[in-house]
This record gives sequence, structure tokens and C-alpha cells, in this order.
Amino acid sequence: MSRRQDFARSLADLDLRRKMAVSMAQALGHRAARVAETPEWEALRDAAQAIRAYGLTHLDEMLAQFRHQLEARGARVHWAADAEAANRLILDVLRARGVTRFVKGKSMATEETRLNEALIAAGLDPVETDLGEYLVQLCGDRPAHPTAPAVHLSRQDCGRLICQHLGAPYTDDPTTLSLMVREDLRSEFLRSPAGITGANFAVAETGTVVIVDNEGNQGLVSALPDLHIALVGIDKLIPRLQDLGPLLRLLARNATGQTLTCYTTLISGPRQAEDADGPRELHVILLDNGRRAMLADPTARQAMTCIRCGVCCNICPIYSKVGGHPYGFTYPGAVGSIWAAFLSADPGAEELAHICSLCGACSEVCPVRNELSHTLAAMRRRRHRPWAERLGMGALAAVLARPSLYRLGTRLLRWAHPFRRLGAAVPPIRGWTLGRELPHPPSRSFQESHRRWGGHRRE
Amino acid sequence: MSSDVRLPGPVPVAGAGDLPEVFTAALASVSGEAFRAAGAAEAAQRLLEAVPPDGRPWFVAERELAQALGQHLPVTWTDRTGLAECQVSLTAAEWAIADTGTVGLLLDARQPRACYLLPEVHVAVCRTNALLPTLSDALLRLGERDQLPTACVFVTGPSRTADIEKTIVIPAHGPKRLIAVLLDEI
Ligand code: SF4
Repeated sequence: MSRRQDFARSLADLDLRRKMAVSMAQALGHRAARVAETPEWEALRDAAQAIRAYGLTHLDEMLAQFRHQLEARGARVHWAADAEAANRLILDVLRARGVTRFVKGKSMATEETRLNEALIAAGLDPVETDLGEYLVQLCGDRPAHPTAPAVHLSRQDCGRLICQHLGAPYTDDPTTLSLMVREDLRSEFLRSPAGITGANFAVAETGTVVIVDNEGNQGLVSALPDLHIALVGIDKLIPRLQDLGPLLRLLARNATGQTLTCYTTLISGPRQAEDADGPRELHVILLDNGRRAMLADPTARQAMTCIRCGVCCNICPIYSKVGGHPYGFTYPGAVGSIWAAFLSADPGAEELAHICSLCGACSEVCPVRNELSHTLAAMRRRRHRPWAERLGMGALAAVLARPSLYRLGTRLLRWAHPFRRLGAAVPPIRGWTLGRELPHPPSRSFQESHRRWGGHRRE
Repeated sequence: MSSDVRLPGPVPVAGAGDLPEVFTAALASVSGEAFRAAGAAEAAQRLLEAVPPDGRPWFVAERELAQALGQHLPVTWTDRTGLAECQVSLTAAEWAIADTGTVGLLLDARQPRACYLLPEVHVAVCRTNALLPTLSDALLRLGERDQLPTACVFVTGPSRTADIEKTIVIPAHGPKRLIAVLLDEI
């Protein structure tokens, strides 16, 4: 299986492991400091969970209200059933206005629909303006983390990419490199006829598209060009403006350890007659692409409440070793593995539910209290399991239910331990034993010790 | 909105403290600057010390607070067409948020959408009595308006990026400095 090989390859990449270890530890450290200084942390989580749970049962109502409000201000709101429809809509709008080269803000939704590939194939020329995405675009790669797309690149990688692109002498100083990119993109912003962004939230009550960023590029992309297109997953809807309070506070503190992201931009329409500037045209594209199917699934629907803080990735014992790429899906980590089952065109995506170690670390930190590992376990249970697994689990259940068999088993295990490598020769067992070391059983089992200390056995 | 599922009220912040102090400390922690002045003349004086004019024009938003300060400044003003080349943009913030060191700006006819992003230095003037404890308080006030302006922004510090090995670099695409001026009286 190629996905398994992708994971194995990333796991063996010690350079990647080093980069991941440093940045994940840093991200978690920053977050922990914020949690410690926010006494109302759990109350914020309660509020966030309630707000997002409301969305699960009121989606259609919120969508209708959002659309009504935005259209009343002169924006166009479109529905896109899938990625292809969304890309086509965007291409049509851009083509009708003769746009070729234009600026883009960081957006996971456009990664999900592979918008850039579709537009480039149609002869257009999107320019990513978030530094991380700019780097990812330069190396023809895909983002490795929902909030830190270039987390897999070292400063030397970045130096080579940027200096080569701009024809400048090599440097790997992050400050110099960032300023070079700022310089390069300034002129793009000022002359771009169109800007494409995603959204972090969409407020139903007021018809507001909310975008957060640190660099200031989202504000420029949505303010300077004459046309602004926002691609918004229907999971982004929230009922009221005030709900942004707890959600944004949690988002920044979890994602980057900031108290609030540098810029929170609220857009509620295109330029009005009385406005000084801003795009004359605003198109908002509401993207389904499997989200309604997820919402209709009682097991998985909770995952729709995700606010994409990325902390379940950072804390995951698997993600934090291998990064986002081997998942082979836009949204990595535990929540991504759930989303993939509904959003990915790849039928093998369901296998991702088996990547998880079910340790539950993610559920403990998730700002909206998503029970990610429970959901993944439930998704596994309803999948068809291979005969070897069913046989093995059946045998284990039979042994565990019978104390005498269990005792016999522990003794057998002690005798068999020296021959454990033989397991690698048996195909169905091999898959399990290849990457795992069977621990040496203690010379006395717990029950035996217990008896020796004078405990009573109860049967 | 129907409410069979109850939506939560605002989450109170523990120990809000002295708002101007909390605000200044929070803004400093994100590399922003803040000072408080009794009146516009004093504020202008302190601003000139913080940002010596370098000959380039300044953008001054057509809002009372920004204009009050601008009148005391020996600089040439530019309108929005000169935004990309000016040294400073002087804007008026509707609210300042103590908890996070944030300023909230309404963007409309008198304060264009790009004005806080293009110049090198962004100065946001806010009335001291418009200081609020948290973002939620500002959002509640914003929601009370009949209609939202088509754009607003909450700014927390100068623009930054940390995309190269998580090293923080200021500025990214926006201003290099953010200075908040708390004005007790115009
Ligand atoms: S599932 Fe929770 S922790 Fe993971 S990205 Fe979404 S909101 Fe964050």
C-alpha cells in the first residue's frame, strides 16, 4: 500500500524528524503558556463547543441568512457541490473579467479543491502571497501543516528557493528573506485585478466573511483588487458576530500561541457607493464537497465543528513525527483522517482511520472538544476487517474471557519469547511484528506475584 | 434565530485590571507601542518624538480623532492615492481592547480599507474611554450597529511572519510599527 510506504518513508527521514520535533515542541510550548495565563480557558472551550454544536443542527438556516445578508449588500453568493464546481465557478468569474495574473491569500479550501492546478491548467497565473504558501508554491509542493504550510522546510531550503527565484545572492537569514519576498509581492498587490481568499469563519447574522492572518496579505488581497472571490467551506458558518469572541481567542492561542492573530478582517460586502475603496465585486462561493455527507453521519458529524487550529496535529504522536505529507490529504492529523473519509476522492482515504494510535491526546486539547479518537475508533469498527485480524481478535477475546486459558497463555508467551523473530516469517503476523518489538515478559506475572504476597485470587 | 439549542453568552474575563495599563502591556508583548495623552497637542508632540518625519507625506484619515492629531503635525498630508508611498498612516480606532492590545477600525469612506496596511508606520488614535476588556465586548458593540461597514479590522501589533523555521520577522506585508495613542480628550 503506497500510503503505508509514504508513512514509512517519512518516519525514516531523520532530517524531517528533527525539524518536526523542534517546531512541534515550540508550538506546544507557546500554547501551554497561553493556557496557563487564561483562567477562563475551560469556559471558553465550553462556549466554543456550544457555538459550533449549534451549527450542526442549524446549518441551512445559517446559510440562508448569510446569503441574504451578503446579497443585500450587493455581493454574489454561489453554491458549489464539489471541488470541480467550485473551481469552474472561480474560473468563469475570472475569465469573464479577463483576469490572468492575480494574488491569493492562504486558504486551505483552495488547497482542497486544488484550485491553483485547475487555474494554471486553464492558463491563469495565481500568485500566493502568504510567505509559507509562497515557499510551498516555489518548490511545487503542498502545505505540510494547516497553519504552518512550510514547516517541513529548513531555512537553508527557504534560502535556496527564494534566492534562486528572485535571482539574488544566497542567504538563509529569515529576516532578509522575508523582506525580499515583501518587496517582490508589493508590486503584485498594487496591480492585481483580482484577489482570492478563503475564510476562517462566516457569520450568518451579519453576512460577514472573517479572515485572520499575521502578515497583512489577506487584508491587501481583499482590499486592493477590483474583484474579491472568497471560497468558504459550509462548515465555517457561525450564528452570531459575538461568537467570534471565544472562537478567535481560542484559535490564536492554540494555533500559534498568540493572544489574537495580528489581523482579523471582517468583510460584509463589496465597496458601497459611500465607500472610499475596496473591490467593486465580491463573490462568495460556499463549498460542500462532502461536508453535508459528513454532517449526515451521526458518528463523524462532530468533526465538522473543527476550527482548524492545528493543535491536534501538533500533539499527535504520529503527525509530530512525520508531518502532513504522508496523509496524502489537505487536512492532516486526526481530524483530517475523519474528514478524508468524506471529502477525499481517494477510496484508500478510509484507511487513514487506522493510522491513529487512539491515545486520545488530541481530544484533551481540542478547543471545541472534538472526541477525535473515539470517532476514529467508531469508524474503524464499521469498516470491513481482514480475515487475519478478525481471527486474531476472536482468538484473543476467547483467551481473555477464560482465566485458565489466560494463565496458560502468559506462561506460553514466556517460553515462546526467544522465538519471537519467527513471527516475521508468517505473512499476516509479519505486518504487525515488522515495526514492533515484543517486550520481554517478566519472569513472574502480576497474578503470580500477587498470590506470592498473600493476596487472594477471585474467580 | 431559533434557539432550541442554547447559544452561550459572553465569557467573562478574570480580573480585567486597569485597562490602559493592561492594554499597553499587551500591545508591548506583541511588539506594538502605546502611549496615553491628555489632549491632541500633547499626543502630537509625543508622536513626533516616536516617529520623526522623514519628508514623506502622512496619510490622515478623515475622522475627528485622526484629524485632531494631524492638525498639530508639521507634515504634508496625502489622500488615499498616496498610501503606498507615505511614511505614516494616522487612523482613528473605534475601540481598543485591553486583554490583547488590539485596536478595532471601521473601514469606509473616511478610512479606506488599505490605509492601515500600506504605510510603514500605522498610528491608531483611540479615546481612552473606548477601551474595552476583550474582543467579545467590541464585537457586541459592533453587532449593535444597524448595519456593519463593509469592512472592519482588528489589529494586534505590527505585521509579522514566522514561516521560516518559526523565526519571527517584522514586518511581513503590512506595517513595521504599530503605535496606539490613547487620547483622554480631544
Ligand atoms: S479538531 Fe480540534 S484540535 Fe484539531 S484542528 Fe480542529 S479544532 Fe483544532
